[in-house]
Amino acid sequence: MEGMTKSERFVEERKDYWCRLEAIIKKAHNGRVSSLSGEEIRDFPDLYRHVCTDSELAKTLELSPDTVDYIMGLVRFSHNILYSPPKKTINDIIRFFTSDFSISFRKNIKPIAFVFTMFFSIALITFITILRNPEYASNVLPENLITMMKQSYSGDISKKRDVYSNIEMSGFYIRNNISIGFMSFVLGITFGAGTIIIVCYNALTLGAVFGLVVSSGYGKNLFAFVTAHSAFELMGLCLTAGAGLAMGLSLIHGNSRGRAIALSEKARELTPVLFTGALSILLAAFIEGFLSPTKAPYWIKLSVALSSLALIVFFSLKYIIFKPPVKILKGDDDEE
Amino acid sequence: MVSIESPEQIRVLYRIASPFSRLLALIVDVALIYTAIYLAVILLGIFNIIHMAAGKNPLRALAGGSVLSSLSVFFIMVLDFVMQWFYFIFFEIFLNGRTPGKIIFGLRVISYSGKPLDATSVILRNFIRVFDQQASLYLGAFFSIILNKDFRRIGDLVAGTIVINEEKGGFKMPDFSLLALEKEISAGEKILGRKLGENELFVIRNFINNLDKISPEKRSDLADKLAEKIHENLQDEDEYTDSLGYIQKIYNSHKDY
Repeated sequence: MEGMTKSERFVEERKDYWCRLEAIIKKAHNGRVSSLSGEEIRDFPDLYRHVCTDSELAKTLELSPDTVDYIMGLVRFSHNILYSPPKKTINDIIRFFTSDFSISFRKNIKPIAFVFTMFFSIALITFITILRNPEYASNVLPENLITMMKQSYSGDISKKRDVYSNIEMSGFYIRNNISIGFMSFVLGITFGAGTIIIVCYNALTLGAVFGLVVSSGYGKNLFAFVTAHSAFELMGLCLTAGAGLAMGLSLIHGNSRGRAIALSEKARELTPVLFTGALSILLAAFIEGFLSPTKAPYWIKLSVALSSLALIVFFSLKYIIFKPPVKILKGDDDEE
Repeated sequence: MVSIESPEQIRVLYRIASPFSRLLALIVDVALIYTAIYLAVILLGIFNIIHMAAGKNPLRALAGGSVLSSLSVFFIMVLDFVMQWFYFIFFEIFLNGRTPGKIIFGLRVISYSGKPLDATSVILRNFIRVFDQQASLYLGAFFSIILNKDFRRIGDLVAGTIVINEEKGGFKMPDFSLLALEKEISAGEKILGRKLGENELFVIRNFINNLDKISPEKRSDLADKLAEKIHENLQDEDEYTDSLGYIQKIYNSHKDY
């Protein structure tokens, strides 16, 4: 090749397959790898590996900046296409809520159990205190909520609600309750403080409302309303908040690679617990909207509660009951 | 610039997105979220009014008791929830790290480790967004971004991601052709002891090709300066009279090395 500088010669020799790669990149740029033909898909990894070599060569040979920029551009775009996220199948999703969840649950059982114990002991203490001294309720609950609660549980709730308000209310429960669950996870980033505050606040409110309504003598109406969805809802909150606390603790403890990495790894590990918790709250919202306020006999509501409880316990302990398939145990898990 | 190492151990340089362009992208996305919610409210409202006007028992509808109105309320509640928590997650998963706002400003989320951006990373970075932004009144994001050398917010740190700026307009293969000057200079005449690097040749090439963009008064001035610099760098003992001709002669003498 006559009359060329070093860079020019380098480009001239590789022009053909660069053009080919460029065409593939332009076609697949928006992540639509499916728009490529079979031949293009076959050649793409090869071409990518070639430009990877070229990029290192160009840097070593100190070629002109525009040549290096061009090759790095090819590498960047091909890298983005080649490493687009793998597609999830329905099996991945099922595994996420069963095996992955139970492994993650088992690894983080301490913070989850702590949140569970804290929630129920605070709720119980508040309940007993307010049951004995109903006037204390005004310290915990706002005045308008006290009158509202007394009013709404003074009669049978199934007589007050029709199917229309049930639909509306379940929408409200979905938005409100899952948001609280997600928030209790997210605020774990404040070294767990935000999570603890959310759990305490909800436990106090729950205990106070129960104490107030039972002391006013309307306990039967309240229990008829809450029984069916209680297991899913409270368990869901314990799971999401437990995940948040575990995240906060990982930030406090750190690991050999520092706090930020510890947090990042823990958060990744906790996603199955978080989303199983959220799913549980979602189910609770539908039960709360469509079964709890109905005239269905109490034994149906109770059996829904018990079976949902059994379901949660089963999936939480699935890892212990059945050994998980080996492929789920990823090599980079360094705990337990 | 940030250097991300791909699994092939190629260090790929990316331009880090500026916090300002990310803020603009966020504003677009938030505007889209609220537009969608309010559009749904307005459309369902109109739909309900039409239904009520044509309906058999408008009184009942007025009292808030029709399946349509209840379903509308349900739908808007759920839409509000989904938009708040899953708008960014949905787009970043299905558009491979981009949302409509990010597309407009040429931004993309990529994994800091060079691995593919997976759904878990996207979910984490967008859940922590709630803490970074709303829950801490944007202080979380603000301090994280100004303290981190790669402008990553807390959500990016937790998820192991980074927002980068994609080049717009695609790529341009380098063009080595040289603008023809008035005087033709024969190639490779002079054999020099030292030679210029590819960087310097790039400067010369750029200079010659952009001559027509430089005003005539400055043209000879710049050519003199460049020629002097080259002359000095090469420790060339020969004198020259025509700066522009000298520059091109030197460039041509570098061919076929």
